[in-house]
Amino acid sequence: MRFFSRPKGLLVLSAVLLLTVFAGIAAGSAKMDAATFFAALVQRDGFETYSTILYSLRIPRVLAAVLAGVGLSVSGAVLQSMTGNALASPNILGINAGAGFCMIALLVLFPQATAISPAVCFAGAVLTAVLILTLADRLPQPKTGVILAGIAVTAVFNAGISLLSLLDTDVLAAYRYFSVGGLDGVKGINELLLPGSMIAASILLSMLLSTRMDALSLGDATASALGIRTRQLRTVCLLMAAACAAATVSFAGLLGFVGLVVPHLARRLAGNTLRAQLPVCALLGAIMLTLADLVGRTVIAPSELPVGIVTALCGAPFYFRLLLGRAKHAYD
Amino acid sequence: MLTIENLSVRYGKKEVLSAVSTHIEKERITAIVGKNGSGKSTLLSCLTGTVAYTGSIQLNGTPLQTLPPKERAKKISLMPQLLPDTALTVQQLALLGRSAYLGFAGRYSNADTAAVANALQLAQMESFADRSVQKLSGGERQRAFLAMLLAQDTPLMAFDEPTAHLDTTAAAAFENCLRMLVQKEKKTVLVVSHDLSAAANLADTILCLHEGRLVFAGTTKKFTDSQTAESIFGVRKTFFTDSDGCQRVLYYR
Repeated sequence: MRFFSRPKGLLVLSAVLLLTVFAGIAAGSAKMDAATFFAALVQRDGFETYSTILYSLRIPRVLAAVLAGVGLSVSGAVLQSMTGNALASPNILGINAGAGFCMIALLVLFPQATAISPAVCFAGAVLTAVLILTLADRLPQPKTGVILAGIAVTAVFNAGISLLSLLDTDVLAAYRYFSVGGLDGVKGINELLLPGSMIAASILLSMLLSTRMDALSLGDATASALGIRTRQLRTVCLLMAAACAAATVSFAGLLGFVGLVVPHLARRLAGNTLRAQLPVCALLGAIMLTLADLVGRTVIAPSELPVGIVTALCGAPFYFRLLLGRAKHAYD
Repeated sequence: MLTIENLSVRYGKKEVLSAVSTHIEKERITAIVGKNGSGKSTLLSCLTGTVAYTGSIQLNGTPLQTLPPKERAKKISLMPQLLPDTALTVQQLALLGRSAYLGFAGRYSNADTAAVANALQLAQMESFADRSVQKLSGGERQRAFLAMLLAQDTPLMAFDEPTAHLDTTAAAAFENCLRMLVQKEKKTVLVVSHDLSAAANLADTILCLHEGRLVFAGTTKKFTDSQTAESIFGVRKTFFTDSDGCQRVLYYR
């Protein structure tokens, strides 16, 4: 049993996450010394301005980073398990693009209806995922087909997003930021309640179904012989992955690489069963995105790099490194 | 043990199995032989509910179609022809054999871990328990999946071409393992094979399918004495006595 699949390992990761969250809240363009920071944190009289900065800006933003990291990583892990393809992630399969298209369509058609954006993103994500799996099932090799279908569907939705954003200049401005992915649009904890609930419910369900999902990863014929209702389980997995990705897209835009890289890293740390992977995946995703956002906010301060740029810049080489490692193992 | 009546399967317009009726006796090895595309694997797929069929399959009097998937998986296990590529360890794979016994929370009980320990021992895979299935040889991988099937603890165990990808030594070892399952564990074993000689030397009973129809069902002795193989497969046969003094048959062209 690997260290990170044990309670001790999870405690270590939780402690790292707490430190990262703390650093994320403490750092920012408005400088605070330790005394001011703690005074603002406990909302002492005379520190109202700093308290407002913490509670209206930094804490919601750091929580958004944690949620986005958890949502995308868990979505990626579930998708990689159910498709049996290590390249599956909500971004590559086009689930993010589908959710994003519906989000942009909502902005164009009903600009005031932002409260329902997580639900609209969810609908878009589910429809996209169903479309991709239906297409992939018709291809001779469904494992590769799911990626190929995802690339095609992503292209179509991205074209749709571009078209909608060209029709409306306000939407174009929003789209520029949305397509990169960022967290500074989050203005309060209330905005995170619905996405947070969707992600929490999906994680809980994923944990309950994780062993059955491991059986499903052996293929439909073997899983059926083991007593798994494969079609139903696949549908539930799809809904969970779509819910996690859509909830994230609704407040963080089209963040790339987190859903692809973190499950790989979690697999290395925690082993191959999904039950061991999922908690590690969630904690690692939260740590990585909180750190990425912290870097984005501080590296060129007082300006900011959107977190999506940081995740892409760090994620791509890291993923390449992982692939090289896999190739080396394969040749060994 | 297993009674099949008028079993028919269609893939689109093509009838893959056509009105197959037979009975499989318990605690015996039954081999299903036939050419490629004769419907052998489809027959096994019917047992695990992955193919829609007409007719009836009854296990000790209970129609399989009335059993929920979990209950069916406690009675019939299947090793597919192409073993899935998995990075799970042998022990983790064997634990998946307990999927049908899991409760809502999906946690393994003490009974599950005991069943897996027993399965690993029977499949002689205890020393491989922590090894990744991906890194095993063909024969070891076969036994890893056998451990999963044994953990599933079903009275009827079905194998689709279990020795097709193994060398002669590994194939012989696996066949001995199947004999042990019948003799010591009182299992009923169903083996699909396109290798007539291997099937005839392993099984107690033979079912021969040709173009979706059952053309022979009976003891291995009756099969080897009959001209079924010669007329369907266009082969010849020779009998010989092996070094253990056992009468063997070899089909050849």
